[in-house]
Amino acid sequence: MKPSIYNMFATIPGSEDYVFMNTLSLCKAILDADTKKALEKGNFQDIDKATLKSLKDLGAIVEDHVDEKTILKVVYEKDINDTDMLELGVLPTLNCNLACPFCYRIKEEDSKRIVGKSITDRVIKFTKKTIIENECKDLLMGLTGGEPLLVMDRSLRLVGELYNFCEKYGVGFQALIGTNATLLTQETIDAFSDYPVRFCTSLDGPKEINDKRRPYTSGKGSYDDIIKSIKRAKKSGMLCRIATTLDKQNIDHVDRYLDELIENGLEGASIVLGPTRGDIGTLCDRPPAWIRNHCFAGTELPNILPKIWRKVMDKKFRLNAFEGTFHENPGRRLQFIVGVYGDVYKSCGGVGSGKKELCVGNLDENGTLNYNHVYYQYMAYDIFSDPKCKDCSVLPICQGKIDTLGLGDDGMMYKGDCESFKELLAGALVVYLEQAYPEAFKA
Amino acid sequence: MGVKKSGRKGKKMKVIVLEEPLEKKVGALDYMGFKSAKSLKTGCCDAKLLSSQSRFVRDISDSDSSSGSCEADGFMIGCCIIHPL
Repeated sequence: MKPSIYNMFATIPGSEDYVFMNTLSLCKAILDADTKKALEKGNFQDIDKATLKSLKDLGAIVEDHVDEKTILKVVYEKDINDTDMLELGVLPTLNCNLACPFCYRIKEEDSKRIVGKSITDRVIKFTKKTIIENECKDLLMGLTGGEPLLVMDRSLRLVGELYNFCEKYGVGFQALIGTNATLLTQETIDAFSDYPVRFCTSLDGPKEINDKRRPYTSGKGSYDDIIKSIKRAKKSGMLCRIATTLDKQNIDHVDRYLDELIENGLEGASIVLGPTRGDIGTLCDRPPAWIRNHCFAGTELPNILPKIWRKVMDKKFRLNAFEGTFHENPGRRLQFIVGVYGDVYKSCGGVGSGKKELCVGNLDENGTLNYNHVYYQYMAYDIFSDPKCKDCSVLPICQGKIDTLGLGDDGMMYKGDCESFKELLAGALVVYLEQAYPEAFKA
Repeated sequence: MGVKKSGRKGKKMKVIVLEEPLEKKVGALDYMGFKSAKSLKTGCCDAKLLSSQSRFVRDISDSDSSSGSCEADGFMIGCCIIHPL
């Protein structure tokens, strides 16, 4: 027997025990220091049969002949080549009625856009063709921008026409609309209520702070309108998650932010917390100076985020710190994001941000995706050969972090910092387990 | 969840199992929802009837807290609504 290569450990604050996870099996446990040491050294002589069986069941120990890398490789390749689900993102516009200082979208691109209707036609044709050719069973569509509700006709047509198509062919359908919610009127909610649509909106702090960060182009604050929209959506039975961008400006106002949400009747809301990233320059041509001035260094995040996660969860909001660290994989065959020109990307990096070097192709008027060489770079990227990844214990979780691939100043593909990610994953795991199994941590 | 404190030679070993494999001998990638989308077939067309097992529900209720972003309105595909670190 030997220890799994996918074992990871995390310290528990105020305890001599450790949280354990096997990233391949996703089994989780609390271990004492001796058991951790035995697993790290591969020395199981002092472990009795019952404990050994437990550790084997957890995937912490495997038989000598088991090659876990091969298992991961087979499962991974099966997944990225899976055609059951088409994941399609669309940016129907890059225009926006807010003027957030950290936004990196290149709004003026929108004015040069080819007629919106023709691009919408191309997206619809492409989606239908892809579903039929691949016999997809589900379509997951995301709309964002810019503000997608500024072009309600396009957004509603994309949702309605593709939903009806999916209904006709027995294909599952879900749409997620990322909106600033300022235009989420009752009329808009009603228009989408016939479809399986949910919303995600941004709110960046208590009123005073949010209004500095998310003002209308006129300078007026958006907080009151956003709150009204979230409550309206909730009352109408539409799911609406709140996404909060964190940086040095609002990090100290989280308590008041959460209290104000509760005062507004939004207790228990689902919240996403996303820190601004300092390396955004690899994904966009003109990173706003705001980000450089206000973002946290990656190395700071493992110390900062767990404290914020605990605050959010202590106040009974819905948040899963742990699964939030999972990465999407743009290496998936059927994952595309379409920009306002009909330009297609494999990950959110690049789209609408002027980083055209990350574009993998374009949709023609027949809805055919004409790939360029970048597509093949993405698809050929081998996480099992990457020296940083091939022996990494968290590879089954991060999947090589391909979704963070951007272009550095040297023109080379660049990936985000791995060490901070591992620390953050460990912190997220502890916070998640403490909340999910409080009794176990008292033992 | 079970607590085992045992060990030969008088040494106490502590293993508190919190989560076991959902499907034995299936890798983490499967668990991460890539197959659960099939469960949508029974209720996907009504947002109010979404199966708690479906990937889509997991997306809105469970994910994402640690991802990095420069704009939380940002793109959402699957469970990634904002840029990962």
